[in-house]
Amino acid sequence: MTLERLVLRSLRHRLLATVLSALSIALGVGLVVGIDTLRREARANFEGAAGTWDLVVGPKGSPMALTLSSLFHLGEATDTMPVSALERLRADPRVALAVPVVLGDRFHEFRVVGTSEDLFRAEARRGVPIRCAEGRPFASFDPAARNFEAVAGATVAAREGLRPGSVLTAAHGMDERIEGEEHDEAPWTVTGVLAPTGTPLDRVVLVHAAATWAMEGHDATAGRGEGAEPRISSVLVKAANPLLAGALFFEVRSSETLTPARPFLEVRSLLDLVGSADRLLVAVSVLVVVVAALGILVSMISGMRARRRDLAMMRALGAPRRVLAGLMVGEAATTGAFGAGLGLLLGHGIVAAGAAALTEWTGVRVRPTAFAPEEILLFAGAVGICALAGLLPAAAAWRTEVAEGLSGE
Amino acid sequence: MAERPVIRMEGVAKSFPSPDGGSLEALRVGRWEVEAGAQTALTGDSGSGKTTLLHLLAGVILPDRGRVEVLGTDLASLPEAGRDRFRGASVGLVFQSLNLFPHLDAEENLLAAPLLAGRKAPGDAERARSLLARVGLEGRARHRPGQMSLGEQQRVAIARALMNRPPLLLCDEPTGSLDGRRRDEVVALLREMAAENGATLLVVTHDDAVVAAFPSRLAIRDLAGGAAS
Ligand SMILES: Nc1ncnc2c1ncn2[C@@H]1O[C@H](COP(=O)(O)OP(=O)(O)OP(=O)(O)O)[C@@H](O)[C@H]1O
Ligand SMILES: [Mg+2]
Repeated sequence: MTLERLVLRSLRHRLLATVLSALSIALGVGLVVGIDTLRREARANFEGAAGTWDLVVGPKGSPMALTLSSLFHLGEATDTMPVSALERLRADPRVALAVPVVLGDRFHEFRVVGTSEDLFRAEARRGVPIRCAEGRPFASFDPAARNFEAVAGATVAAREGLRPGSVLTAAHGMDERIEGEEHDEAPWTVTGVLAPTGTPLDRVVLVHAAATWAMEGHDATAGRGEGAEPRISSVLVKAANPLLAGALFFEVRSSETLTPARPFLEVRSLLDLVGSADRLLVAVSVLVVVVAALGILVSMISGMRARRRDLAMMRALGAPRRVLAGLMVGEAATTGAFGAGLGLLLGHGIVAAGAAALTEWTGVRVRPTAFAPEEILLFAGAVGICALAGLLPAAAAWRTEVAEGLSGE
Repeated sequence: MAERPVIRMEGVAKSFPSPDGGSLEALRVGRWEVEAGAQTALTGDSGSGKTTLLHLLAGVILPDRGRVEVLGTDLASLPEAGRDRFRGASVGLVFQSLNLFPHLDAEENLLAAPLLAGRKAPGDAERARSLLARVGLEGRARHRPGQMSLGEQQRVAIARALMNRPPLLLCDEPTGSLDGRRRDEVVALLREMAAENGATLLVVTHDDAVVAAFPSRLAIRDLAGGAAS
């Protein structure tokens, strides 16, 4: 027999109250862990995916929308711009790499992105190259050969069962809910499947930009007459060095028709915006923990009457007041420890669920097992708050008078 | 008697505040000694101060006046923590009912005694088992109070009161909630076990059948005047 065992026995005796208290602590801790891990991981991944490009250049419009549509394939591409802008950028000695982005088609719920073979020289995010796990990249489009070739992102390939040699038909419009007209003629032939990158690239089909212009019924030049210049959605740019990236940015910004976006900064400011909301969520979750601790206090205080006799009995057996008070704090802290432990598991469960949703939506991958060292502090904090809540019942136990507790049976 | 008395009271008075603002005398003892090994039945009307007397002897309350010595120790000279320690080491208590912790099984109830008195020892588990066997509850070690009859619970309580080998065993109506046969069994067990463990036994009761079982009987009103033993 030990005092710890006495605590556990007493908690088991009031199992329902203990479980409910622990669950409410778990809920609070779980929310803190879940929200915080998601936030941290999402930030790292979003910034990582945005960080491989110095600039996104698109038609006049919002740099944020440009970044989201070009790099994360979220939202609609607002407008288009002439392909000559791409050629000017490629010719610029300050530009190390420039690839076009042509949006507007989809394959089921996945977007078809027109680009160039140069994309395969870039990284999906820092340290993760864009390469085919199976097959090869699409070849440059040859109008005579009419080689409509496509490379499927890892998720697309897995979900749709695509392999090199598979054939797919794209449709117009980027919103899968709107029935688009299918490009029946000349379907795309899959030449390769990308290795998983944990970025939005996993959820797109890559094709050669020129092939999209040649695709029957495509409106790349629509309304601009026969022989008009093909149009693209945006250009992803890697500068020769960061200083030059800044110079390019200001130069493009002064243009009449183009908008430059620095994707890393755009993503950061977006996450900061979201960040203030999830800091609020974290604060609310901490409040949930505090309220749960108060719940422990209330349940212990209201159980005090029923325990008066037990406590008096302990003193009759020679237990000093401090042992009784210690048992109360011990019960509260132990409930808190059970709850906080459960909460850590719950939190990573929330992350797992949230990560699945986030990956489904953006392709960005989050590790639900990413335990942060702060979680130890969180655990200790939750146990500490509960121990504090145990102080009031402890004071009540301290005041137990043996004689009074033992009379009145 | 060469040996020091186990209980010695002299000029003791204890009053409690009454709700109307005055005070009410609960107990008065002139001079009283109990020698080691005695087995005494203490009787008295309801409200005559029997429980108050036991509480004084257990160091749970202190007298307003006079001296309460148990095993040669003046209880008023000890601080509260000292009286807790003294009680844990030297006094076993058994009450009328609800003696046991409802969330602990019989053996754990016994082991709680050395634990709470701060007197844990390596042989505790063995002693608990042999005491349970001695009170005839060998197979009930894992039963919680709710799973035992009142008579069985009282026997567990007696075993627990003896866990720490106290020289003094104080019982307040230990058979109050038991019927005739169970009552006689418990009284016999109490007397045997007090003797086996070398404990002085003082039992408060208003049951004549219990009184009759004791060699030494005492009415509490006789204590007020003068000497008894
Ligand atoms: N804590 C207390 N506060 C006020 N009065 C008390 C207190 N404890 C006991 N008394 C009073 O002291 C008197 C003696 O009480 P005590 O409990 O010692 O009687 P008793 O002989 O044990 O009675 P019973 O046989 O009914 O148990 C009673 O009048 C009681 O009301
Ligand atoms: Mg009484």
